[in-house]
Amino acid sequence: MIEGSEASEHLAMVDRIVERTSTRLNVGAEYFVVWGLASATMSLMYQLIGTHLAPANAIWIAWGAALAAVAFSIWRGKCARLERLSFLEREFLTVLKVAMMVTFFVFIIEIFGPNLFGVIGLGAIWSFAASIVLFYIAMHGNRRALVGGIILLLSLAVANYKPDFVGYALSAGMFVGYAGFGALELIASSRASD
Amino acid sequence: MDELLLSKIRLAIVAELLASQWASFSELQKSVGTTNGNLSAHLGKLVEHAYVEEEKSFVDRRPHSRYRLTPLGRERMIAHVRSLQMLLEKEPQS
Repeated sequence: MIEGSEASEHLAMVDRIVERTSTRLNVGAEYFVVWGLASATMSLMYQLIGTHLAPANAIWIAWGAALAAVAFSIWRGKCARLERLSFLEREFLTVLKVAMMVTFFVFIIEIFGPNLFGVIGLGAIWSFAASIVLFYIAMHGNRRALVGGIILLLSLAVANYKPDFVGYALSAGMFVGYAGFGALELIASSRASD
Repeated sequence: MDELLLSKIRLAIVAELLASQWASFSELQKSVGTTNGNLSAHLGKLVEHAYVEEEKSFVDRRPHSRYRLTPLGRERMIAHVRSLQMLLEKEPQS
């Protein structure tokens, strides 16, 4: 049998483990860096091409960035051991998938008729969806994600009020708010593991 | 009270597996903080009593074992935690 003090110790240990494992939210910071940089490059290239500061065929740089991000995600997904996910992390992945699916849906309807959103509108929708993802992470106690989400919303506001700088604003938002968040998370996790 | 879960290490293993679908041997070792042999022996008992399911495979030509809690293991863990709580509730009266 077990003594009362020992039972109390066992229960405290179980509480600690369950709290740690069920509230763990490892967001995969490298995805944020890669997709933030790719999205920033795409918005920037559309701005530069639209204002004739870059030749039209420079669009391939934007597509190259997107393809590189997709390739990285596939490669990283294969390496990752997705089975060790907490319930919270699974919920986060669902939010991320929904955000990506919404953006992908807009991308598809955009291909068949760019009447409603336009190319840069797609970038704005992705920034909006990305801010929701960051705010979801922020809701679980991550202040860097809160700052990242606010930066993305601010970039949308600037893009709205400064039509000549839409691409620059969205690109800066993605670079600082999204990729910057991922970079800070990577730095924080490497410091924690030292 | 579940005899198998009276061991602190086995209890820690089962608690670790409660919130995860699968966990590898090395992840469990890192979380539980015990030696290879000790963890292996405790996991063996949990597998033997069908509290934990073991899956062996090869990753990059290296043997890789991963574990997850079975419905029986989850049920026994919950019942065990309830028993511990009841023991503590009764304790002040005795």
